[in-house]
Amino acid sequence: MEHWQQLINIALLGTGKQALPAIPADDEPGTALAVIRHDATNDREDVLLKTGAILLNYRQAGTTTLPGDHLPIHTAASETRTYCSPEAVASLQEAMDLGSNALTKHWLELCADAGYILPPALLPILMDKATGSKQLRTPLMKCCGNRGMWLAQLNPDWHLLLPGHEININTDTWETGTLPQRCEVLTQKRAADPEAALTMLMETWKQENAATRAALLECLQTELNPNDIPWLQQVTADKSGKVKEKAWELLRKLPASEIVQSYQQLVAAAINSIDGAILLTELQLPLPAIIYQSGIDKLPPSALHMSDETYQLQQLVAQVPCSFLSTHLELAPTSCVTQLAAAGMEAALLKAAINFRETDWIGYILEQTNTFYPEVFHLVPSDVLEAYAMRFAEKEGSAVILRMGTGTTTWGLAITQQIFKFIAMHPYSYNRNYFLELAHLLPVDILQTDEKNYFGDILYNQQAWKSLREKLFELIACKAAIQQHLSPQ
Amino acid sequence: MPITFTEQQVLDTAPDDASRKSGKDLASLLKWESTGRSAIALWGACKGSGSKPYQTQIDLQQLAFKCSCPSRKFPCKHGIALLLLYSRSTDNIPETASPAWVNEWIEKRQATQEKKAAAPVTTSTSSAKSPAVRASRVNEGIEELLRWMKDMLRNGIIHLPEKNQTYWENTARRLIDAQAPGLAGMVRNLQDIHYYQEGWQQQFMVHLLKLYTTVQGYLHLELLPELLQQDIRQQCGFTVNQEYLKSLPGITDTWQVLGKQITEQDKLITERYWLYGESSGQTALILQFYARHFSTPAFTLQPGTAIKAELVYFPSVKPLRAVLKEYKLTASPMHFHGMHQWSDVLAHQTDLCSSMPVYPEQLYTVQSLQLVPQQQQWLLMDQQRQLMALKPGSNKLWKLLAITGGHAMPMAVTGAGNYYEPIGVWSNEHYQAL
Repeated sequence: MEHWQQLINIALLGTGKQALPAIPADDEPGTALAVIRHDATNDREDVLLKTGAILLNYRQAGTTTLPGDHLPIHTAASETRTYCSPEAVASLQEAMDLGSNALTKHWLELCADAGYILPPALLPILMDKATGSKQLRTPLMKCCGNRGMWLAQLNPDWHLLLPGHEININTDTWETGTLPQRCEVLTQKRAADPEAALTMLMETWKQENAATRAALLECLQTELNPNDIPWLQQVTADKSGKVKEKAWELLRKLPASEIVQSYQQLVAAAINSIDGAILLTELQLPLPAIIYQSGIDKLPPSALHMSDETYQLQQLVAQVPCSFLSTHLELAPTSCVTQLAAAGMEAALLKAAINFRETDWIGYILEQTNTFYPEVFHLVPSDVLEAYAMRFAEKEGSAVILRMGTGTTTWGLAITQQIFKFIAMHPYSYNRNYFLELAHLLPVDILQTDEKNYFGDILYNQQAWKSLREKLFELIACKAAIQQHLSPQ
Repeated sequence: MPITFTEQQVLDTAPDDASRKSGKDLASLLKWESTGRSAIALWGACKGSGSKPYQTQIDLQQLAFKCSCPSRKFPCKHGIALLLLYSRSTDNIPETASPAWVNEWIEKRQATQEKKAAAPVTTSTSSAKSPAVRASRVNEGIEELLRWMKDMLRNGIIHLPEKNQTYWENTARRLIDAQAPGLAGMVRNLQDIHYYQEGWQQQFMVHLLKLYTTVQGYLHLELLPELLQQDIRQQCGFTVNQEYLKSLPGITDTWQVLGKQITEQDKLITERYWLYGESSGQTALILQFYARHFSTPAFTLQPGTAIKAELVYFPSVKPLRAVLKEYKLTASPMHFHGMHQWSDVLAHQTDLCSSMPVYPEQLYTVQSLQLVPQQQQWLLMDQQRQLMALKPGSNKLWKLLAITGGHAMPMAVTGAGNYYEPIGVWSNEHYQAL
């Protein structure tokens, strides 16, 4: 070992600068090395190379192992759940080959729900995938078994997959994290314990700059509740306009806040009913200053075809709960919707219903309206939404597809057929890649239907649609295979 | 018992991802006008863009493909699809009498093999047209190489990390010109060392001294035993006529295909198949070379399967590299056979380097190996709790850990000295190639 190291040191600095290595007297290769050294025909480099060649072979002939008695052994705990079937594995492989993270996630969720676990050999590839795709992390860790948990603990690149890893980050990073990290901490805290989250924010509030205050205030949207009102009221006096605006925005969502109560009084004065008929009277302008400070605007000079009174009343209607109107007017919701819509208040009413999460009222409005409101998607039950979307699938197809794509429940057959029809009419706007991340929403029943019935021959025979149809059905067939092979135990 | 394949094994035969995907798309009986199988072949007619369906056929005995489609890929998507259908269930494809076009192809293949076997081989060893001219060129190349090595050592290797590619490439190219491609490859090994990684000096000296030992061996060939001469000539880049080798008697055995390693340099693909003989207990390495997009591999073996084959080893003091003389896929339970512990591996290597100082990586099957971590490095521990290091840069670590769960299992590893790379593992007595 010593001679070998010496040889490397000489080679490093060069034979021109270093003395040649000493001949080991008592080692076995000593005799051979002495012959090399005493051969006068060898120059210094020859001696180094020949000595090295002998030492190399001497060393490799005597290669030894290292003892491992002291090393701890890490093994994974045995599994308690059943592995999924080879057919299920094949459907997962298919989803990954198709490049659809949505279907991969769907597979993982069904696997976890069915109580199966993944075969170990697939874990590394999926864990690598999940490190780059946040949506896969939770479902993967639910069906990775003890083997997967063990692997994630061993590999630093996979630590972020471990459940609770993000919570650790939270507690550490509230004080020192970046703004997005701190927002994440606050949002999570807010979801778990709204009061504690508010206290946490109040404690650091004075040390934060205006931009940070505005961003953190936004996080209070989660689990917003009447207990927040006193503090939010104080924040409306903040120096920063942006922070003030955020505080008002939050207060406007709380029916118990003073400002919403004031709005209600103004609306009650302007909208009344006589014998079941709604009567609108003009607002007395100007409104109190606090109303304007809270975010109600005056009519801009550029506005046409509308009076300032109507403009401000629409804003006020949008800021009071629909249920208040129903009570105040002593009218059924459907009647309220019909009459207020006729009075030009439909959009304001819908805004209020969304603001105060009055799902029933959204439904009443959608049943009657002739206007397409993209913002209502996924705020009402899927049957109500699909019935509404069906009415606009032809005229507003791209917006319908866009909004339906943000949902989490499988599309109904009828709306899917309408969407496919729209796609067939616009063959160059959509391709397979567009649907890769929507594949989990497509209904498998569509494989059993005949498009000719709802397409008509002309559309059906269009080459571009035929080509896209094949690819779409490939995705749907993969989803069908996933569901078939991952039925619950 | 019919020869079976797993779906993964079939997909692994595909030349690229696109073929794999297209093959899977076509692996539906609806896309085939007809299919059939016999004990030795599969065939089918698949509707394509042409007027006539493409005729696809597979020799099940040697896993060879033929298709009438114009694709240059090999195997084409039709071949992959047909074999996929068969792998999913042999019942997918009805057993019938083979049509004339299949019989014709199978007979032609058999005739070619018989012809090859019967053909007299005129050249006994090297294919060089004028050995004396080549020997002189190699000697000139070696002379320059020695001068280059000595200059390097005189000035000190401490400056090597600063050297650019030209420094190494000029010497390698000169050796190619001197018709010593093996030595050029050894120079390129020097170039590939990570000079900014700790311990590069050790690695460099090992490679340099192996090159020097080979060169000195070549310069003193006449003093060495005949078989060692052959080893050294091959290390320098002299080829051995493979047709001549195939004319020699070989070892017939059931060979387990334990691993396949693929490397690519300048569009030249090298496939290394590691085989283990169930009866002979011998290991073998079969190399196959082909140029991407220009030629197709002559044969395809799937890790995790077994072949009944006659192998002929290249002449060597310690034979390892071999050629496939003839082979047929065979069903084998792929049981583990091999060594008990690392000391058996080391004893083999000590014996190896006593007669062949510069030897290639070997294949070993060791009964019980376990991955254990030590100071951010992973080691392989045997049942005597003795350790060997995992080859740096091995990309199999996490798959191996996933399969074994850290438990000791029989493994197939390749390597030499202190570093080994697992290529497969027997998990629950079932061999799984990595």
